[in-house]
Parts: sequence; structure tokens; C-alpha cells
Amino acid sequence: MAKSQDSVSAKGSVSTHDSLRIGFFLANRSVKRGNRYVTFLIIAILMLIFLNMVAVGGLLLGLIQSANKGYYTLYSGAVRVRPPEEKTYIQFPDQIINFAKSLPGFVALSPHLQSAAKLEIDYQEKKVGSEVSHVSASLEGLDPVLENQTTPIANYVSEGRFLQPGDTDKIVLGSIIAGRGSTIAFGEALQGVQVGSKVLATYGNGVQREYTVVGILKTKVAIMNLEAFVSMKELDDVLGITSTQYSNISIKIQDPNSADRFKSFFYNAGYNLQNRIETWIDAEGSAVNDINTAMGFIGNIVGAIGLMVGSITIFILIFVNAVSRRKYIGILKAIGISSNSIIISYIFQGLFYTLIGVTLGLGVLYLGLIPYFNVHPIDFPFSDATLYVTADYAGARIALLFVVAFFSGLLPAYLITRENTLDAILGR
Amino acid sequence: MIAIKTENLIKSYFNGKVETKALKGINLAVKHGEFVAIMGPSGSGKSTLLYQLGLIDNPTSGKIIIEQKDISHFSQKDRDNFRLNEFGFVFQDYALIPELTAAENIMLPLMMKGLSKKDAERKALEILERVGLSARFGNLPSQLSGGEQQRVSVARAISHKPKILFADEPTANLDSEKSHQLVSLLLELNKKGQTIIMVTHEEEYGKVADRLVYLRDGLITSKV
Repeated sequence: MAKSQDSVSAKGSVSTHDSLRIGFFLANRSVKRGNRYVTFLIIAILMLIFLNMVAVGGLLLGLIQSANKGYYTLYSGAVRVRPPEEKTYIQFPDQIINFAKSLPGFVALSPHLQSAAKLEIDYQEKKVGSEVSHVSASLEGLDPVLENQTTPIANYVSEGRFLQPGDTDKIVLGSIIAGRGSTIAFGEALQGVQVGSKVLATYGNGVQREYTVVGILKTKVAIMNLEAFVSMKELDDVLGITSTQYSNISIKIQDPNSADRFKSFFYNAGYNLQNRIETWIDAEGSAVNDINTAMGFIGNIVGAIGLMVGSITIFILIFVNAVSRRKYIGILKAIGISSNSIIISYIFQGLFYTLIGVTLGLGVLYLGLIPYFNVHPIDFPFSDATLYVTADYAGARIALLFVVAFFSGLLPAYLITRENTLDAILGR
Repeated sequence: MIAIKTENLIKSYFNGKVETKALKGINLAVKHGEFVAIMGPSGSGKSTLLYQLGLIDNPTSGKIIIEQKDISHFSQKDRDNFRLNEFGFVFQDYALIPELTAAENIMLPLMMKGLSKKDAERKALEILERVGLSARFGNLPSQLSGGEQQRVSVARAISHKPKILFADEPTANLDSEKSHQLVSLLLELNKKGQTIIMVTHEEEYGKVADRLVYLRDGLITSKV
């Protein structure tokens, strides 16, 4: 509440409320009526600083996020059941499946059967003493209907089509073993394979089967590009399995981020004693997690450098603005305006510029950059990098920017108000 | 009754170890309601004396006494408060804040003293009317002539009813007509009891004061 002029204390001290009021009044007028080009420049630079802080780290996060998403949506499921180390197949698979289906958040599941095999092409033209193109691969037997309910891998067939129910003599090859991707890191590929080509699979038990290639699967999950896919029925037949036997079961749940909770249901029911119950994070393994951690660390370093550069830039901008007004700071002091009011006015200005810069930056981020990268992700070998900025991530950087802006307003104004009033007025 | 007095006031400036004495022991007393003009050649120490009296600068030694109290060694905060409550300043180059309108420049010290924005605005309009500028209350300094800016500067200086009004060469940047108008305004204020200490190098305007103090080389050479 405003006091009357006569109620100023005997010592004439100025209240914090009055300092704040005058500080805001000065800041408001300075921003409204100051040089528009300078104001525009400061705000534009603040916006770019904010974008630099969130976008670079956000792209690295997006890279990790996209790789993780690909892993659990296409390959492992949010939760995966595997047999214990000493067993080949999942124990009590029907109980596991029924239990999973009864849990809250369950969406679908797809059991898989795995077997190693040697795949050959052009084996019919094999001449005595000559080598044909062959590759050793892991063959994954699956039920196309259940797989389509659980993962969208059918959408990742780059040539031909995915398996359909009844496809017992058909095979889908991963792009690397089909020679469509880099084999530098992964070894040999079948030469000249096309949709419609015949391949001969020789299984570990000596059974040989001829398959027609119906599709080539190409995903960003490298391990899938190294596999081949046949129907579960076919693999059961090859391996002589008559009862329900699975090598793993991928489970899709409503919220992949609650995989830990879903896994705990199995643990609480004791299913972990008979099988290995893994979240997609467990399934990715420590190497991938280490890569994720390293990428996150790089993101933080890049973000920290961005923040440092940004902080120095904000400081210089506001410092130069304050120093160029040194004379007026001196005059304000000379007419009795408290140092606190002057300092507060510069803090308000710094915070205001930051608020506008960040608001514009958020607009550009959420209305421009994020939608753009969602439509045009950056194509990395293991992931499609989108711009991934969570509210926490952006919030932390916004908070840091405001802290920097606070001190960028405080320090120069504090230094100038502390100097001799006459020196400030005369520019000495 | 004495409004302000100095005892052996000395101000030195240092350039490295080289000392330059701008004031060499000033003894001066100004009574309440008195209009004192300080004159002297360039470099005589006129403005330096004014800034020491007005607590804008710190003297090297000596005393500045107001109501039996030595205020020369007040803390920075107390000096700020003292200037706000007891002193008003008119500068040679008007020293208006460029982003504030004429009215807002005047409102600033009033709001600092605790008046609400509305009351400060009302009071600023009253004062602008007194100096003949009520129609210019919403104009920025850049939209005012030099004479108008100086009158706004005077209005700001007297808005909070200071005990002493300090004016540092207030006519230096004005033409003769505007200078006359400004000096008339100061005389009018003085007639109403305002104590004024004005630095000027123009004899014509110095002579209108109750008393002329001549300075040369940092010393008072005569009081007329």
C-alpha cells in the first residue's frame, strides 16, 4: 500500500516494496521505450541461445530415444520372457502367457522360436569344388498374426511382403544377410538374393528346407537385419517340436515406460524363478545402455557448453546495455533513487528479455523444429533422430537461463551503483 | 538559521601519486531561504563544491553540517536517502531519464518517497502546471526543447519539497530568453522560501542571488 509523503521514516529509509515498485517502473519504461533494435537483438539472441541449449542435446536424446523405441517396439517388446540360462525353451509357457494376458496394461504378445541355420543361394547350380553364396543366420519362427498384433515389423519390409498365415515354405530375410546393408561389421551376406529367390536352409539337426524369399526386412535395429523369419509352424516341424515350446515371448504393454512395474507382477507371482523376465532395458544389455549413457553424457556436455556460451552472451548483452546507461544510473542515484531500485530494474529487464526470448524459443521449438524433425528425422544407421525435448529437459534449461539472466542484470547494475555517483554521471 | 555549512572542506583528486586539490578548505554557510550563487572561472572548483554540498561526491576532508549534524561521512545508503529527502538537483544538461515522460521524470522521486503512482502523477501534473508545462506532461525529453527540459528538471528537483535546491549551471545550454525564464522561475521559488545554491559563470544571473560567492583555485576569494 502506498504511504503518504509525510510518513517517510525519520531516517528516510526506503522500503523493499518501494524499491521493487520503482525497479519495475523503471524496467517497464526502459523496455517499452528503449531502443527497439537493441531490444529485438537481445531477445533474438536469447531465443537462439535457448534453442542452441535444447536443440543439440534434444537431437542426441532423440537419437537414443528413437533407438530405444525401435528396440522395444520392433524387437524385444516392452517386457520379454526368456528361458533360464541352462534351458533352451521357456518353462511353463502356457501359464506365463495366461498370466501375462491377465495383467493390467497388457496389449499383446508374440512367442518366438529360434534356431541357427546355414542359408545358401544358387545351391542348385552348385558345381563340384565350387563355393556358393551362403551365410549363417539365426532363424526366428513366429506366428504372423500374433506378431502383427505385437510389433509393426510388417511395415518395415523394404521389398516384397511379410509372412502371412500358412506361409510354411516362405522366408523373410533381414537386410544385412540379404546384402542390402553394410556387412563390414557383421560379416557375409547372400549374393544376388531377390524377392522370389530360392534359398536352402540347413539346420543344426541336419534338416534341409528350401524356402522362397517373400520379403526383405530393413529396420534400424541391426540385430533384426541379421536374422531371417519363418513361420512358427514351419520351425516346429523342422525341430520336431510337438508341444508348446518357445525361445522367447515379446510382450507389448500400454505404457512401455512402466515395464518395470509389469515385470514386478511376474516377480511377485514367482515366475522369475522358472524363467528370465526382462524389461526392454534389461534386454538391450549393458553395452547398449552404456552407449545410451555415453550419448546422454555427450548431450550434457554439449548442453553445458551451450549454457556457458549462452550465459556469457547474456551477461555481455545486459552488461553492455547497463554500462551504456551508466550516466543515467548516476543521475538516478543523484536524485535519490535507491541503488536497490536501480539494480532491481536491471534484473527485471534481464528476466523480461529472457522470458520473451524463451517464449519465442518454445514457439519455434514446438511449432517448428519438433514437427519438422518428426516428419524429416535425421537418418542415422541405428536410429532416426528426432528432436526429443521433455518438459523436464526444457524446464531445467529455462530455469538455468533465468538464473543467468538474474545475475546478468544484478552484477553490472550492482557494480555501477557501487561506484562514485559523480564518476558515473560524468563518465569518468 | 543555517541550512547548510562547511568547515575547512577539502577535495583532492589523485592521478597516481599526483594530488590535485580542487577545493582547498572551504568555509561557507547558507541560511534557510537564501539564494546563493557560486561563481568563478573554469576549473575554480564551483561544480566540485556543489557536488560535495549535495552529497553526490565525497570530500577528502572537512565537514558538511546540516542541523548540527556532520553529514559528510554518511554511508552511501544514508547519502542516497538524504538526497532523496532533503535535496533537489538541477543539472547543466537537464539529466532527464530519456525513457520517461516529463511527468514520469517528476514522479520518480515522489514514488521513491512512498507516494502511490496515482498520487505521484497528480502531484507531477500540479508541479508541471507551476512551471508552465502541464500540456507537455506526456512528452518524452526528446520531444521537448532545451528550455522545456530544464524546466522539467527544476520541477523534478522541487517535486518532493527539498530543503535545499542545487543547480549546476542551469542556464549554460539555454538561449538568453529561456535563461531569463529559468532564473525567474528560480527566483519565484526562492521568494516562496526555497533555499537555492546555484553555480553559474554568468554574472547577470549570479547577481539576482541574495549572495555571490567567488571561487578561484579552490578557495573562496570573496562573498558579496
